Amino acid sequence: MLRKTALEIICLLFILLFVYTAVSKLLDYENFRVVIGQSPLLTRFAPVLAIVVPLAEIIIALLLVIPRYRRLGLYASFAMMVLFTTYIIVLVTLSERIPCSCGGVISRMTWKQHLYFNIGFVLLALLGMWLHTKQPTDPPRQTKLVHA
Amino acid sequence: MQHPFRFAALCVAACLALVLILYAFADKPNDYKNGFNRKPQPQIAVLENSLELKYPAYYIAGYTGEHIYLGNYSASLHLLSVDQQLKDTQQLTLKISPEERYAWKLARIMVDSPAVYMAEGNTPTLYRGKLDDLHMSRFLPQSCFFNMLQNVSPASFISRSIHVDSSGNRQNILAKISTDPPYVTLAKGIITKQVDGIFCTDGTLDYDKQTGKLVYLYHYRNAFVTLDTSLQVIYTAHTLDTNTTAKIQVAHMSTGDSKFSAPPAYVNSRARIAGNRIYVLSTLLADNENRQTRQHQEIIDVYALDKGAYLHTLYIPFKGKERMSDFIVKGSRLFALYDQTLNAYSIKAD
Repeated sequence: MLRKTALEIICLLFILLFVYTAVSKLLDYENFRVVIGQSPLLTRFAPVLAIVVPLAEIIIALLLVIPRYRRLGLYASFAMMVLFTTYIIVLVTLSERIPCSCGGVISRMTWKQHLYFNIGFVLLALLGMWLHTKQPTDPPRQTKLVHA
Repeated sequence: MQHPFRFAALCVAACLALVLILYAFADKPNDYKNGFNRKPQPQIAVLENSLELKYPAYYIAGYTGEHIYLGNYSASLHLLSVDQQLKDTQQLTLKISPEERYAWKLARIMVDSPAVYMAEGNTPTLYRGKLDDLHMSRFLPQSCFFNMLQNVSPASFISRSIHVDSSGNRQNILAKISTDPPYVTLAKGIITKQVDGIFCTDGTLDYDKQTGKLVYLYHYRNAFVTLDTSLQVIYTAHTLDTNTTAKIQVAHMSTGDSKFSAPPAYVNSRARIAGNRIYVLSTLLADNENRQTRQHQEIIDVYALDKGAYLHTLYIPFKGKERMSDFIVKGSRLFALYDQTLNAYSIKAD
């Protein structure tokens, strides 16, 4: 029961995070596209990434909403958060000037806060993935309920 | 994929590889030859004193024979006075009537003993006071909007302001603001437009009391202009590097703002005039310099004030990660400001 609740909360947090950041990126699309262009790593891919990143976030949120694809959604969330986190680490350690282009209030965080925030979500996704794998050992009736 | 931890490990490795590949293929400053040489055997400054500052975000507000004054971007009325040896510090607070309203985040203090000024160009508002008592009162209400201000005499200032022409193009220009009519005199054509007029013309201004000359140094191109206080151009000279045109990309947003849409090629950070020399803090490596040169040193190129000819180069060693944000030269000493450190160096030529 606890496991199920924890999993639900984790999924909900990720849905909120991805929908929130995706929407704030899309609402401020013009600005987002320009600002990710300022990143030395992304200049060339800025026009594509400005669409792909929020779109991917929405797709992951949808996967998490649909019970059948929840596991896939959790894995994708983990991959996405790891990608963001490595991007931040590489940029902060190797680049002299760093711009920020995250959505909404999240862009107000300092780089250190940002890193902790991201690592927190990476661990959360990992926990979610682990909890989800453990689930088949639960009584089958309960599993059915989750998937209903 | 029943093994989440195996997936996790694989995912971390793949992401790291992807981002590092992106990094490897990204354009990095000083990655290619910059196409110029510095004189060999640069003079290396010797660190003499160092002062840890309690807060970040300081800027150099001015100096007198005895003291250096630091203002703070996040506390507009705070002024820190430091002696030459960086031993005695004194926290000062400008006194201003509580009813006064100004854009405090933009306000900058200028110390020009015995006077002290505080100015903010968005309202615009200027205050003047005495360094002894720090009582600030409104001053020069006839000024114009500006984004940079330099005091040149008790009765006049040089500002950089945005000029909008009849077809709506915006461009930085220099102007002289004085206490006597006509108060504001625009000097068109000194700062020249290359890309957008605002970013491409960005730079720094410094004034030398001794010779009465001003230098405007561009950030994104290899040029500086030397002027007199009536804003007549004495000459335009070039810094060593080859960036004749600003390599920047600017996007104009529907909100009316403009932003960089690619990393700009930043060339020169700061110019300071002292003792008939112009000191230019450069961000570019010369072809005859080691790639590691800028890792723990800043590079300052020295030019002659009379015609702008390159003389020699100074290396300023520093510890830690934060790069020099500003500096001043006083006689044979150079004071450099980093994020939370003020360093004093000896630059005596031997």
